[in-house]
Amino acid sequence: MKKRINYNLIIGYTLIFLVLLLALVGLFYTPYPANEMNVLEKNQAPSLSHFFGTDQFGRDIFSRVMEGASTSFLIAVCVVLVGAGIGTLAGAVTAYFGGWLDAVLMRVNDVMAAFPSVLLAICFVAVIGPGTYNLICALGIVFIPSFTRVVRSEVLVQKELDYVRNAKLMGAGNLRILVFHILPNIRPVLKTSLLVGFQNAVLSEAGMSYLGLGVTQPDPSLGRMLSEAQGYLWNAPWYALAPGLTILALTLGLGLVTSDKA
Amino acid sequence: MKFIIKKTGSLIITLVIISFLSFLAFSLIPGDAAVASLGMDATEADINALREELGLNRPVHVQYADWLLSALQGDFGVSTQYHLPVSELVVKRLPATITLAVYSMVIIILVSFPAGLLGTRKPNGAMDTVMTVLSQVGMAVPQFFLGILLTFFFGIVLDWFTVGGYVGVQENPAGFFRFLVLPAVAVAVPKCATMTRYIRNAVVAQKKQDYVRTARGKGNSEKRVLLQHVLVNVMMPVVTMLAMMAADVLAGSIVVEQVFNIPGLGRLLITSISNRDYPVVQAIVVYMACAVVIMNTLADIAYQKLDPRVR
Repeated sequence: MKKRINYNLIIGYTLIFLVLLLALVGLFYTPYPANEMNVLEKNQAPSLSHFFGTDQFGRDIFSRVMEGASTSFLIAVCVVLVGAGIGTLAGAVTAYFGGWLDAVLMRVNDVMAAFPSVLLAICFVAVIGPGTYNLICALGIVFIPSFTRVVRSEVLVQKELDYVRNAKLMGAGNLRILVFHILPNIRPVLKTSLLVGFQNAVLSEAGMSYLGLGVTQPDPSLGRMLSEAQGYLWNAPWYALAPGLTILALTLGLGLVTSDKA
Repeated sequence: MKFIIKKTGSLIITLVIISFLSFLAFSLIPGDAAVASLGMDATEADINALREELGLNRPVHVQYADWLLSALQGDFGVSTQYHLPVSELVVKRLPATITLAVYSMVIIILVSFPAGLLGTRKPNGAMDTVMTVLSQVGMAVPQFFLGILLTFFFGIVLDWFTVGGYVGVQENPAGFFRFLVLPAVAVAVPKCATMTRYIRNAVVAQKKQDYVRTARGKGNSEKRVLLQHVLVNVMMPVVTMLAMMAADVLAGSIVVEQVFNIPGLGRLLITSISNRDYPVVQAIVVYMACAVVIMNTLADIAYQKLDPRVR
């Protein structure tokens, strides 16, 4: 059979790579300091010295997009780590041992999963206040149920299989079976849900920062930049396009890669 | 019937738990309603007096019972930023949010069914590929960025509507209903994309089943097989998905109201959070939680009615 070129994967990884490159370079080097204001060069159109132009304070938009992208990446990675870490632990333990803990945790899980993530995150931020670390906590908690559910249903299937019984006969402890036998077997499923979770985390972070409930001033964040750019749509549409298209490139890339896995 | 009663029971329990948890959370925040309404330079004595008056120094469960009793009678307390009854504020914001949500749901249903079926005649054919690419892009675009793009093209380039020109339903009903169309599109597009993809995959999977071959063998036309056999089986998960979408639409409208400057529940929630107006936040959180939980319960009941196997 002729091998087909998988365009989804190629385009997806290329988009992710481009944004990742932007973010990684943004950690160490930006053409201009991201927060430096320059009154003489306010609201400039894209040019050779300012790739995406400048904003209302004369800050270089390209530099801000670079730093914003690394902030978004960092937050999304932390959110997924918190959510997946706690979620996997909870899902694996409840499914493997069962009992009343399972019943109680799954009830809580169902209630939380019924709410849209943005709504829940807004509730948490309303209580603990905005800011980068609070946003990571809020979104991290919100993302736990999706991982718990996936891991739980997988472990429920795996623990009845022969290889687990075999390991038990050989005298392996419960913890050993969970970590060294079951976990490697659910890795493909976990990988897909990590990617989906990452896409959702990027979208949620951007949304929360757009609402002013995430990254605080003056640090650049793609979502915040969009809300600032909105006031200048009339004379500087590129200001909104730069951060918006960056978010879109990242989420589209992740979407293409996951749709291929699923 | 027994099923419905049981579901309603668990619905009420869930609502009580949610409202208690949110009440508890808001009462734990440093800086209570007394501090919020008197401002930073109030004296300790003044604050204590107001606390006494508002009943803030009673145990939490007593306060909660009190709050719940008045809430059930439609009294959610007084807003600390507007000094108006919370219920009055919320009721005033409802028409915009509800209209936006209904519009979005209508768009989702009207678009995703035809769009989902479009590619299924020849899976992986040209049409299917186009629809897949479109839905991929649709799923990835953030609602607020889409809102900004729509504002730019329709408001500034084409000048079809006034940017931020929201009018109340009482003042100008026609203008109100016209203005909300674009925000609804911004809310609906990502959900449409997800739904389209879901319907497409479900139909393609169902078409491989034996009963479809049987139906074709009996001489049914392709259209009849699709409408009378395949769609009926696809409907059940789709109805559940639609109910879950309703909750997402509510969440999406919070963000999109901000983009289009619509004074709905979402905007009220955001401004109340930044102004630490907790009675309002509490009321809206409970209100939205109610809406979400009720939608889910309705979906469960609908699912049970539609699928004879669950009955």
